[in-house]
Amino acid sequence: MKASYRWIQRVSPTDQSAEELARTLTFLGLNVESVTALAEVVPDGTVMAEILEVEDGGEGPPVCRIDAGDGPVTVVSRAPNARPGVFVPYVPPGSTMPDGARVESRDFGNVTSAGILCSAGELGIPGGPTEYLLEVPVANPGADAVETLGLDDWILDFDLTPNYATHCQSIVGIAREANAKLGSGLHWPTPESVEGTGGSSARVQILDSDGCPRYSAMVIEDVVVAPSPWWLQRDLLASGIRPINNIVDVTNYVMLETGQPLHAFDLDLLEEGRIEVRRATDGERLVTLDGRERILQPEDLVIADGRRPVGLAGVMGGENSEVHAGTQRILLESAHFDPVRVLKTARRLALQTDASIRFEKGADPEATVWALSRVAEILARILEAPRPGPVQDLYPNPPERRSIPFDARAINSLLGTDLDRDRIIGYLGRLGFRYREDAEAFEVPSWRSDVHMPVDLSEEVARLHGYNEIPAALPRTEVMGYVPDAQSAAERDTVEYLVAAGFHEVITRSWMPPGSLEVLGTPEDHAFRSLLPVTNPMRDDQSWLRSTLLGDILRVLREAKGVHGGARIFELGRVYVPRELPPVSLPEEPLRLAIGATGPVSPPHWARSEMPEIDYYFVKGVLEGLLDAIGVRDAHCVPTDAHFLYPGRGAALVVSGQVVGHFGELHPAVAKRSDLDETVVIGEIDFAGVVDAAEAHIAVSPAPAYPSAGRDVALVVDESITHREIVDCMREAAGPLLEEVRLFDIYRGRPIPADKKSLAYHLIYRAPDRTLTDEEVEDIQVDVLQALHDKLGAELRS
Amino acid sequence: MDPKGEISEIRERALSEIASAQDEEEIESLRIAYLGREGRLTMILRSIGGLPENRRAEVGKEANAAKKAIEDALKDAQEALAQQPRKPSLDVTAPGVPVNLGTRHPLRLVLDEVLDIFVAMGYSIAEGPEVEEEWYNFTGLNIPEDHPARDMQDSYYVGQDLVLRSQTSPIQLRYMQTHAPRLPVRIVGPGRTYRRDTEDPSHSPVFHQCEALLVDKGVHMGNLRGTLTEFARRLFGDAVNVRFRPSYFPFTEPSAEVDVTCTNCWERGCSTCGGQGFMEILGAGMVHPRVLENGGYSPDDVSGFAFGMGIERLAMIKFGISDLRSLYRNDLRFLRQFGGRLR
Ligand SMILES: [Zn+2]
Repeated sequence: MKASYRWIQRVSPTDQSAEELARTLTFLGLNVESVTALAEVVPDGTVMAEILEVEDGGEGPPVCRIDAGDGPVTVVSRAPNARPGVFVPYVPPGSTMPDGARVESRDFGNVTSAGILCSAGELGIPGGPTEYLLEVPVANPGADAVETLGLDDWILDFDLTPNYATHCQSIVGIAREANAKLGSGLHWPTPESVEGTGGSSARVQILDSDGCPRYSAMVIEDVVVAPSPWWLQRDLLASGIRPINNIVDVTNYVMLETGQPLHAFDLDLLEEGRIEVRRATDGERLVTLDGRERILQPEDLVIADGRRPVGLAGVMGGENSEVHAGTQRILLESAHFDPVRVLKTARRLALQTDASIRFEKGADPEATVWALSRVAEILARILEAPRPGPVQDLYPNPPERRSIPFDARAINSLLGTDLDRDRIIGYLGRLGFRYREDAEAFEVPSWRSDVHMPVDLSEEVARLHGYNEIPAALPRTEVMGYVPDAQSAAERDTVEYLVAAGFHEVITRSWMPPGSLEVLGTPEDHAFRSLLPVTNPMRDDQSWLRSTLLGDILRVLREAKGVHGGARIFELGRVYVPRELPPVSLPEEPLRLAIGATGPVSPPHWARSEMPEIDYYFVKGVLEGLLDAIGVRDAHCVPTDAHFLYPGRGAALVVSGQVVGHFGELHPAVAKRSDLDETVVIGEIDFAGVVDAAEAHIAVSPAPAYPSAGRDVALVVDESITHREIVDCMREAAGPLLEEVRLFDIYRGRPIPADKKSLAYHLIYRAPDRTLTDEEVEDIQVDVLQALHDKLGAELRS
Repeated sequence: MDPKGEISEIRERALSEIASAQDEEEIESLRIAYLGREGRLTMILRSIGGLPENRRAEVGKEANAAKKAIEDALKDAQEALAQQPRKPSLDVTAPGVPVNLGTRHPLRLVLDEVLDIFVAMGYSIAEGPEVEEEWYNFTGLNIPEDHPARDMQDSYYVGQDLVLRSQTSPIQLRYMQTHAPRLPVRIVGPGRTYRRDTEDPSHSPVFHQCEALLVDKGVHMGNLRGTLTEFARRLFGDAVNVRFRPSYFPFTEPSAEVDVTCTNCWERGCSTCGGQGFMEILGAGMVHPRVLENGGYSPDDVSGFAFGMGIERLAMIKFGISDLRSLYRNDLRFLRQFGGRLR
C-alpha cells in the first residue's frame, strides 16, 4: 500500500523526515519499498493566482484575468471550473512544464495569454485529474503553489508481510506504529456524530452471518456529486489513489485513514431500496465496477438488493448500483467480512482490490461504525446540505476479546534480554494492548487478528525494543563435532577427484528436458521411462522430474561444442524414481553421477606433438581412479547393450557383483540426434551403489623384502577372448607368486590372422620370503602358458 | 736448437692453445699432440737420454715441469669446460604444459563453504527428500491451510498430495522427529527447493537453500544474532556487520530478515545494494512453538532458532554474478573461471 508522509505526520506528528520515518518503520517490520516525492517536477515559479473575471473569447478560448501577486495578468483557459473567485496554480512564461514544454506568451486573436493555469495532472502529480483546474477556495495571490497546495510530500510505498497487513494498511495503523516507537503522539480521528438529521433509515438484512459478521449502514440524502475539494484529493493522490468524485473519494479517504473498506450505493438504483447479504446462487451474474461480467458460485458472498446482486462482498461493487453524476441518495456500507471467503472469491476471480486486500488479511470488526461516522462527518463538511439518516448496525455475535497471559521472564529468556516489566508493559501499551493487572494478562486490541500466543507478544516487544539492540552472544551448547557419513564424504571426494582429473562440475535443473528420452533412444520399457509427473508445471519443460542426468549432460556438451580444448563435465545429482503411478508415497531420490567427455586428453601445448583424443579407455581410467580414490576394490567392466552407447564400445560397470551404471562411446544414432560426435564418451552411475561397496578398511602388507622377476610374453588369441579372461587364467595357473600382470600392447594385423589379435604382457613374480630362482620362475611360466593354450587356445607369438 | 729453449717454447704454445680450446675434443687432441705417444713433449722426454750427461738432469727437470704444467692446464680446462652450460637457453616466458584442472560449480563452492563454517561450529549435516509430504512442507511448519504458499499458484505438486518442497525447512521437522528427545539439535540442511516463479535474473523455479536449526534449553534471540554474526564474518570477512529487520515467516516467531554489510561499498550505499549499504542474505527467527511441538519437543522446556539462506543469492553476492540463470546454463567458458579453489 501507499501512504502520504504528511498525512501520517498529521496523525502522529513526528519530526523525522520521510526517509527517516521510512527507515524507522522498516526496522519496526513495516517494510517500506520506496519513498518518492509527490510532485518532484512542479515547474519553477508556479504560484497561486486568483481568477478575477472570465470573458468569452469569441472564436478562441475563454479569457481569464487573474491576480498572480504582481497585478492583473491575462491567461486563456478552457477549463470548465475557471470562474471568478477561485484560486488556481499559475505557471508564468519562462518556466518549463513537467512534460518539457516551455511556457511562453501566446497570441489568441487579439489577446495575449501570458502563462498557464494548471490542473493537478499538468503540475506533474501522478494520477492528478487533467479535466479541470486544480482549485482551492482561499489562497494568497503570488504565494508559492507547492507550499499552498501541500505538494511538498512523499509517497511511502509499503510491502507489508501478512502479520502487519492485518493492522497497518491504514494511516492510523502506520501512525500507531510510529508513535509506539517514537512517542510522537497519536491524533486519532474521533468523528462528531451527524446521524439522524433527516435522512431515512437503511434497510439491511444479513442472511449469512458467517460470511458477514457485521454490517453497518447509513443513508445520506440530498447529496450532489462533484469533484472533491483539493485537500481531499491531495491526501488521496499522495497515497496513490486517483480521485473520482466526492462520494467515492470520501469512502476511499476513510478506508485509507482507518483501514475499514467502505462502499456507497446509489439508493435509488437499489430495487426495493434495501440490502441483503447472502450467498450467491450458482451461476448468478454481476457486472462489477470494472465493467466485467462475473459468474458467481455459492461460496461467493454478495450484497444484493430486493432482486439481484449489487456488489461482491468485500471485493467490488456492481455497475448497476454505482454512484453517478446524478445520484441524490446514497447508502453507505461499512461491513466486516470473513477473510477466507473474501480471499477465495478474489483469488478465483483474479480480482484484487483495495478492499479485498484489507479484508483478506483480517480487518478490525470494531471499526465499522467509527468509519461510517467519519464518512458522514466529512460529507457533512464538503456537501451543501446533506441529510444523513441513523446508523444501522447489525452485529449479531460480537466476539469476545482475546487475552494473553503476561510472563516477563519468558519474554526475556526467549529474546536474551533483561527488560523490566514496566518497560514491556509500556511497549505493548503503545500498540494498544491493555494490561489487566488482576488477570496478569494483556487484552489483544480488536485490530490485531494476528496475535494469539505469548510468543506473539515477544515479537512485539522485540521489534519495539529493536532487533539490533538485542545483545549478540554465541550459544552455549554442548559441542560434538560432526563426522560425515560415508555418502557425503564420498560425494566430496568424488567432486575433488574429478576436478583434479580435469572435469568441470555442472548443476542442472531437476526437470527431464523434453524429448531427451527420444534423443537417447530409450526403449519403451526402460527404467528411464518411469517418470514422476509434476501436477502443475508452469511450462511444458517442467512436466516431468528427471530419471537420468544424461539429457542435460548431452545439452551442455552440445553447447560446449565450439569451446577450445574440448569438454569434460560431470554432475552429481538426484534423479526421481516413482514407487507407483500415480504417485502416492514418496519417490526414491537416488544420487547419480553422470559424466561426459570429448576432445584431447590434455590441453594442446606448443612443445608437445598432437594430443590423443579422449576415448573409452581414457574415461575408464578416470572411473577406475575414482573407484580407487573412494575405496572401491571389487569392480570390473563387462560388455553392455545399453541403448545410448555405441554397440560394442561401452561397458557396464560391475561393483561387488552389481551393475551400477554404464559408460562408453555415444551411440551413433544418439550422436546424430543430439548433434554431437560419436567420439563423445558419456556415462551414468548409481552413486549410492558405488559408495555401498567402498571399503573403509585398508589391507596392508609389508613392502617387499626380496627382488621380483619379470617375464614378457606375447600371445595370439581369438578376437573373442578378453583381457580379463587371460589375466584370470594366468593368475589361476600361476598361484600367489604372480604379483602383477601388465598389458603393454594389443596388436592386430599382419602377420596375425584377421580373426585374431596379439596381446603382450609383462608378468612380475615375487615371493615374500626369498629370492625366486630362474628355474622356479621358468616352471611357473611354463604352467601359465600351458593353461593359456589349453583354456583359451592362446599361442605364443613367434 | 737448444732443448731448453724448445721445451719452453712447447710449454708456452701448449698452454696458450689449451687456454683457447673450445671443447672436450679439442682438449683431447691437444693432449695427444703434446703428451701422446708421438707428442712433441713426449719426443723431447724420450730424446733426453741422448743428451750429454751434464745436461740430462737439467733438461729432464725442465721437461717434467713442462709436462706437469700442461697436464694441469688440460685438467683445469677440462673442469672449466665441464662446468660451462652446454644446452641452449629457453624462452622462459613461453607457456608451460598445462595441468588439466576442472572446477567445482559455483553453487557447490558456496554451499561447501557454508557447510564447512557450520560444521566447524559443531553442526551436523542433515538432508531430506525433495518430493515432500504436504504435512512436512506446510502443516507441520505452521503454514495455515489458506496460506498462499499452499496454492497451486506458488508450489509445485506431484500427484495429489505430494509437493516439491518450497523450502528446506521440512528437514528441521524430519530431523527433530528422529532425534527427539535428545538435545541439542544442531543441524544444517542443504538441498534443492522449488517455487513456481518465472525465470528472471533473480528467480529460478529450482534453486538451492541451506537451512540451520539449533534447539536446546535456553536458546534465545541473542544467540541467533551471535551465530549469524559469526557466520557472516567467516563467509564475508571480519569487517562485515549484520543487521536484523523484523519480518514474517509462519515457522518462526519472532522472525527477521538478515542483512550483511555490502562488501562492494562498505555501507556507503551503491548500485549493487540499491543504495542500502547492506545486502539481504537470509531469513531467520526463533522456532515457532508449534513447530517445536510437531518435531517432538516441548516449547515449555526448550527453545531454538532457525534460519535459511538461498545459495544462488550468496553465490551472486560472492562472485558478483548479476544473472542467476547463468548458474544453470553451465556454459563451460563461464564455469572455467571458478578454478583455483581446490581445498
Ligand atoms: Zn553497496
